[in-house]
Amino acid sequence: MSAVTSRTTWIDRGSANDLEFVTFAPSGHFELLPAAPGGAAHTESGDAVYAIAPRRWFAPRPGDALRATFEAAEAGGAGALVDVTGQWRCLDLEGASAGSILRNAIDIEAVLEGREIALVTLFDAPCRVARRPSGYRLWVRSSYAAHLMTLLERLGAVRAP
Amino acid sequence: MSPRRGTRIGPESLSFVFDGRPYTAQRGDTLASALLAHGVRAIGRSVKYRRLRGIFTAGPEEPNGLLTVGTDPVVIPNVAAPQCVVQDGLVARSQNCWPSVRFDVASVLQAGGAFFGAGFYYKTFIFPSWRFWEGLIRRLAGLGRAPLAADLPDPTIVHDHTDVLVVGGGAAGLAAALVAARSGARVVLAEREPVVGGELEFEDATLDGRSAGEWTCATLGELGRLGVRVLTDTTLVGGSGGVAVLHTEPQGLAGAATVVKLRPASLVLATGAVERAIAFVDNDLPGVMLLGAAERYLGRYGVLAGRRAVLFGNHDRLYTAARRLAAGGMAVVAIVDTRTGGAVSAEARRAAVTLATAGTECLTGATVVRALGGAAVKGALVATGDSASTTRRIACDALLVSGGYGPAVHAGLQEGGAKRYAAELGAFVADAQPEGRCLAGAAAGCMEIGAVLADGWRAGGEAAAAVGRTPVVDGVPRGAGDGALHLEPYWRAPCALAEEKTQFVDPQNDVSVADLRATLAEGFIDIEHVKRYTALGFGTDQAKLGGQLGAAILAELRGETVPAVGTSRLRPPFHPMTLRSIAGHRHGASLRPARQTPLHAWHVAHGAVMESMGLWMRPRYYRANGADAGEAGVVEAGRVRTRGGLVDGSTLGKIEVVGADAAAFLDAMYLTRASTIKVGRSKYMVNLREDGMVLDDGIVLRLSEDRFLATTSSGHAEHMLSHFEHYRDTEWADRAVTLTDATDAWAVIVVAGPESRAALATVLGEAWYEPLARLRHMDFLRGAHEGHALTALRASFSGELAFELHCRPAIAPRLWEALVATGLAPYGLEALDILRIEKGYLVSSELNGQTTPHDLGMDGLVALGNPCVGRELLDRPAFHEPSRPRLVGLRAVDGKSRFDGGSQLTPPDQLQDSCGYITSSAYSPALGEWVGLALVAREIPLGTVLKCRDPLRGGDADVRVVETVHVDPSAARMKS
Repeated sequence: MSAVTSRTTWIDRGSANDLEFVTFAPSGHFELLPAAPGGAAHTESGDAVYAIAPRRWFAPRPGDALRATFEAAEAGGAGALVDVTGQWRCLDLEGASAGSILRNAIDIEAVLEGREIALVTLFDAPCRVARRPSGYRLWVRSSYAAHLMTLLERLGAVRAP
Repeated sequence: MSPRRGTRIGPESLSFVFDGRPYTAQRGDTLASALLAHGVRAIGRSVKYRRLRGIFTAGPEEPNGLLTVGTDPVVIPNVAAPQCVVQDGLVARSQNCWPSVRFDVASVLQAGGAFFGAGFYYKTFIFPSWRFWEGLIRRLAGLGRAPLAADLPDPTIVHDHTDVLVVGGGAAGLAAALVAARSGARVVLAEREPVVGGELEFEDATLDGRSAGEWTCATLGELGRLGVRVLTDTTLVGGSGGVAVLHTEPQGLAGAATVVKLRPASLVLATGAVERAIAFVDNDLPGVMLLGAAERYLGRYGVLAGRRAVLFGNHDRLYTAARRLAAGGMAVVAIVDTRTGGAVSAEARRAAVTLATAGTECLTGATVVRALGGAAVKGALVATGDSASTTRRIACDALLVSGGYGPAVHAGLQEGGAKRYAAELGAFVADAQPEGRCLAGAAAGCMEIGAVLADGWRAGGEAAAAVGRTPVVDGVPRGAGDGALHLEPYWRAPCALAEEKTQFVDPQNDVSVADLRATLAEGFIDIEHVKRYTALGFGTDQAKLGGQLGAAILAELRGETVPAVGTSRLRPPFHPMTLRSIAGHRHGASLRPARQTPLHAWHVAHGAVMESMGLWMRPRYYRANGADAGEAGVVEAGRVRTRGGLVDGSTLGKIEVVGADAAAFLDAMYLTRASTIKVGRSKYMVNLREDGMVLDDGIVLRLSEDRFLATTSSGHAEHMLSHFEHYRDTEWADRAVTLTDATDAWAVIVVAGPESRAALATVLGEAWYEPLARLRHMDFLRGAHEGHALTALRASFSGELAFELHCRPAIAPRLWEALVATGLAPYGLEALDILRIEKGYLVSSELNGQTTPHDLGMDGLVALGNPCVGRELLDRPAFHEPSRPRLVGLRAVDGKSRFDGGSQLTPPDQLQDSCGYITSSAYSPALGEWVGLALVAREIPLGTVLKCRDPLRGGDADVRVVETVHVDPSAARMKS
């Protein structure tokens, strides 16, 4: 077991109504959103929208207003809205050792430098990672979630009650 | 005994056990230094001849002092005694001997040493067979014994980046790190020893007016202030693709290791040099040691390698070392210098005069031809003058040898690094390096402290410049210490042919000069062939100790120059690592991810025997239905046809294809058109590779005019998405089509069998009853259940009335439970395969990358003429020859014989001529006999009787070629 300097926890946030919006090439820029992959926009209502690839955005648990915005954009022919509810399992990894745990798989801070979200493979599991004030938010492909949780525990993270 | 004093030890006393005997050590001692301090000379036996061996070096190149450390079951073999720092209570034991080092049963092999030369195994153990001898040889051979229980802790893996990585914390490395850090670069300094300093630890050097120790401390302090990360106990073991793999083992003992995978923008290799030996008769006796090792044991641990020493070598460092050893209390009785007087520098001659006054005899133009003694060195037989016949004995208990220094260029020769032979060193040094990598100091061939510092400074400056920093010019450290080597290459002492078998070149692998000579006589000339025939440089040595010496002696035997012979490939890791360190977190259940469906927990809780399919875990069968897969599969498949059943199909790949051009895009991707599918309908479709071979198959659902859900087989989701994305991003880059992987977003529950519709209606409620009743084969409904989206697709891979429920993972377990409550039982992959084979559906082995749609009986689909990817090549004449395979059904002629997948099919009268093979087979509960699918030559008509040949499993049978569909050929059940 790796040494853990203080209690690091992971919290299972489950899966929720997540959306992906993709604009059509080549014109496809949805000007309300950041264009460069890794960027994020935060709405006044607290929603976050992440640019995860060229012309592709990820909106975890979007509020009604944001959903409506996407639906209107789709109806206007700007792109395609896909409901990916269940595709991703959301985990929060928090605590002093959160970074060092993830560094078993990747230099997470280097990857997130200048980005708000990164698409990475953590312990062989496809993930999306964003910073949080006290750690990281991970969206892991649902079918890999159990594997990732096992690894986090083996590396010293404790599941929060 | 008063405590020893050294740079690495403290007065605290520790205890440890070696070969069952208790010993004491001081805090900081290594196993080697502690055992030497107790006068333990023999520390193990050699791998082949079982000769007594002692400590030979003070570093990871140690060939003899490889010990097994720990207690059962957690033991670690091949721990280098000079690297392993003693912990209180440590238990170690010697290797390659039984019952003890002194009294080893297998030491009788020494008597047959003349017969056990290189190639002995290859020639001897073929009669009566290798298998006959294998057990005995495996018990005797090898280094140590692997632990029976893998119970080491997980290593800590750290992925990191830096501007400059300096490997080696000697004078050159410290200088390089200092200038790079002063220039503003982020620097990591890795040093394999527990402390930095390298040769400065014992060399009488002055740097910038300070002693070596003071300068080292001051430099280390400044590096700390500049933010340089100094990693001690850390070795660069390998790397590739810009990643340097650093391995940290505190105390030199495998256990809580750290593996740092560092991506430096610039790499400075200041890895120093490895001292090499000289071959002479019995040069492996305990008490023969490298000169530099003796200096290290004295300086670091206050241990004398012997009381009376003879120093033997070919360069000036003999004299400075003799002075230091004498000052430490060793009686240096003689220096045997192979150089003739003219080659010895004036400085060395002056030193010799001084040493002589203290009683050291300095012999030039002389050589040690033999180490004398039985269990340990008792003297040296020294030849003086030109003839080896003029010899004299000099009594000693330590024979300290130095044949020069080989730059440690291992890392510098990986990934495109070149080497050249430096005649003045008698060694290979690294030459041209890839961009961003350079060598410095002794590793680059600099052997004097002043040159080492300047070279390190240069390398550090270049590394800083490479990452965009302006190198600091001023402040190059000035140093003075041991002078130039004035080395005259000398590789082995003269001896009779019969004695060459104990002139050891690579002691770890018991390779002698005689072995090299025999290997050349066998015709193995190239150094790589010699390596493989003799084991020269095998194991942990990797030419660190024996490589240069072996190459030089080969050159002598071949009558060529050393550069013409070269060295063998130096392979990582530089020092031994446990497999646990290499594996990292990938071991046991975490060897690879096990993907789980939302129903995984239910399956496990209800007795499913899970099987891995690709990364997915799927139920093969449920224990309640039978003792094994065959028995349970028959029960489960039979139940589906009589009542119904449930199977978890969540692993199917699902790709959502959206856009105005989605239909046209899918037309291009599939053998048949997607654009003709009506909204609310679906179609079984097949993809081709560019060469016309079938790539995958699945069902495509048209969700709306511009939205489709394409399903793929379970193992192909990522590959199919990649295939689609390739075309979307190239030929379709300017079209309105998007692809989104939704594999995990939908759980799939397949409900099959005569009672499936009623069960669904019960579970989904009245709102679904009528629509389900009206649903035609390949129609689907979209709605909601418990507030979540739900799609009910009427499609069948069992030949029964069947539905696929595509639901969100959140409700899948409840939906499944509710369906089970209606009386439907789950079935697994075994039953699924039986149902498919009965119905003539492709199982998986038919899609082997070598079959076209024609081969698989899809001529009707091809005839539709859709110009998709791969379609054009289907017209190649070779795809239509009579010998091409065709998918057919098989039945046993006698209606009861078993036949298995993989069996070859031959004409009954031509048993050696295969005309096809069985792709899949199963016992059919519906028919009460074995049925199968096979790929056989097209020219073989239906009704033909073939012989099923299965000699390994003993399952020969006569089978008849029939139609592929064994059950319900009219599809009445499926369309009911």
